Amino acid sequence: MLSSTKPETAEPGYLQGDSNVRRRQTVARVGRGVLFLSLVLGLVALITLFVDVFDKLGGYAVYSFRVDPLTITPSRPLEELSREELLALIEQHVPEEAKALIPEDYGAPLEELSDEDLVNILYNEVPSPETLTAKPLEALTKEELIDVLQRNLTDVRFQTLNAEQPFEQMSREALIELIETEVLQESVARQWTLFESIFNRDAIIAEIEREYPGSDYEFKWWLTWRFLTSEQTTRPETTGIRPALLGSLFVVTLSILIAVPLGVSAGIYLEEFAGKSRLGAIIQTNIYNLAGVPSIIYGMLGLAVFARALRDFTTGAAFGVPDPPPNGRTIITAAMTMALLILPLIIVNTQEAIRAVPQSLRDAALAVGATKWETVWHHVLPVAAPGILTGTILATARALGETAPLIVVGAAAFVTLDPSGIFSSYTVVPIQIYTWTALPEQIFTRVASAAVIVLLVTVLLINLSAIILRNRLRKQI
Amino acid sequence: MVEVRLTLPSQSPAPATDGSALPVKMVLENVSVYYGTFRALADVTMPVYENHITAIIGPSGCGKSTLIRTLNRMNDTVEGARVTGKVLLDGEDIYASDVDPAIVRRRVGMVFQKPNPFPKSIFENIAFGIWLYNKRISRSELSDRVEMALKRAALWDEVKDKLKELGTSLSGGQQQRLCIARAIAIEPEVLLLDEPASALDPISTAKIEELMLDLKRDYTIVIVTHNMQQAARISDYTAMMMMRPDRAGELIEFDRTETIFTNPKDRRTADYVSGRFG
Repeated sequence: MLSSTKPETAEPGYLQGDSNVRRRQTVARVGRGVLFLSLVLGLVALITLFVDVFDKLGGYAVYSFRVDPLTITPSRPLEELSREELLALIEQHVPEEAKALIPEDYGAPLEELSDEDLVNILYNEVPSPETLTAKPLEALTKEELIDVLQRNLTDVRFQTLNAEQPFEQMSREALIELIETEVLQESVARQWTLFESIFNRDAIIAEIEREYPGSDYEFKWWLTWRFLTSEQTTRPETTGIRPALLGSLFVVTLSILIAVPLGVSAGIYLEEFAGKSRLGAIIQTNIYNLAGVPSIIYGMLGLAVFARALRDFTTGAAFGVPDPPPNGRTIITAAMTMALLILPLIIVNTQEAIRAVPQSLRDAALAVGATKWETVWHHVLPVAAPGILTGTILATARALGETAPLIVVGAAAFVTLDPSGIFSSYTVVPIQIYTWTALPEQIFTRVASAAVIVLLVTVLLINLSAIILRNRLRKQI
Repeated sequence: MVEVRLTLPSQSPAPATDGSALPVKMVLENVSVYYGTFRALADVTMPVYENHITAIIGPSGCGKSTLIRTLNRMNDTVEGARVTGKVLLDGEDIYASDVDPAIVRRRVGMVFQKPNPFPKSIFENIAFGIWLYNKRISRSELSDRVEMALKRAALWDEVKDKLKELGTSLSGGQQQRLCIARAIAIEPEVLLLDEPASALDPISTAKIEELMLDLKRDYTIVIVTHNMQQAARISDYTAMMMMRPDRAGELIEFDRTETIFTNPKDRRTADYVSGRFG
């Protein structure tokens, strides 16, 4: 028998709802709006972060030399100059006011003074008299340019550069460029931000030509292949991130190698083999808590245990490693500290992945006479594997970005050498970013931005690979 | 094989048609099951006759599944489960302290209510149990035994060309027959089926029933079912269960299936099988 739910007393327009329904729908609309607003706010925060980082990544830069080019080029001593040349130099370089005072200071007009006095005038009245006769770099021959390099670089550096690319085979222009970076230490005097450079290009160029006449300028990016592959130096223009990147790679790989076997095993045991007991519940609660312990505390633990108590082992001194870094500040110390930090994450994640495997699958295996071990090994783990793997990769990303514990266990702020093994000193990308940001030289924040992008992209790639891997493994089941 | 003459206190000994005693495969003696402090099953005593189908019927929550899971120690997997009394398999108590539950489950196979094939190939689904007890088995012998099991479960013709496909890719009815094939591949002596057809359509159900009638020549079968017609159609003996006021399940009547359905001794059984309640 069919019956309508429409009440007997329904008026026309019943389907449009009464005030009660309208009120409830209003609540629903407001609720939806609040949820949407939260999403928008989150997105705005994220976009602001990216805009800020990208804004510093490039832009118009104007260069200046730390060393005056004319001080390094060949020049003749003033004493060897002829009287005509001396007079011409005075005419050209001595300010008019100084010239007017010459008769008073030297007791005779310019024309009547001796050559010696003329030289003295130049020494006294011109800021850098020894450069007066210097030729500009552009006027030098190739041989003279090579000579400049030889005189102004250390022997080692000269030989290194020559070995990389023999000077004899380089063009004059290339040699001048080399001198500019190596000897003159061409550096960025000022750089505008990316958005200024894009939207305000003409004004910036006009300003450069007004304030820095004759200086080189260009649109400079900081995130370059050279940045990725160079070692750290003290100058923002030449510094690179390679030792930090390799350090991060070493530390994270090693900590994963330590934490994953331990964490996955412990997770399997807790979930499949440990029965329900008071002790088990206490351990479980503690693991959940450990996953939320501030990372600096792991740093303190690592410092006390790995860097201090086990110093002979973590520096390799116990294994006869020569010249160990002081205070146990080695890659293995950092890796073990980091492993402790991600261990609870991996345990909890493994447990969750295993818990998601339906009981019916375990029943199926047990019902054909499998032991508990065979059931777990052949049927539960293969199904839980994608989940375990995803969690592991996410833990990797966490380890990659973690900074605080490594500050405590001694990532070095300035490392120019690549890590050479588990007992070498190291730095990692986040520490490097922190160091660069803290430097007084403003331009280093640009370098830090480039490093931030490197770190973000690495973490993003890791997370992406987690997603792809998980989807692929899920398809197989 | 042990012959046991049962003297069941409240039920008749259920003789065979010719009056002689039937061989008994399993016996439950005063079996109670507790989950923690909750008593789920109270003092069940009944036989399971060899090469016959025993159906367990009764309303929801009366402990049918608990009872059948007691027969191959599947209740061990439930946290806090405890069994008292004796469950004899060929006269041996399967709950004795020196008994390995894996061996019990090998001899007493089980098919579950929801088809639960392994998320592996059809071949591997069957082969796993065989391989567990003979890890040096040759590939060809393994293939033969997989084929045999699938043929026995009337599934071979449908899957012989796709043995490498996932067991989970089959239809529900096929999955359940795959589970039956998996259970009989290890050649158990008793086959337990916990509402094997409750999630299936009538055609798949008919196939499974047909299969069970065929399998009883070689196996002793215990089946839990909600479907009274099914119990009447396929079983030789029927155990009628009810929930007591304290929520523990109890066996109220055990007899030949015809007797249960035509001339039950207990009024509650009569009411239940005639559809007056439950």
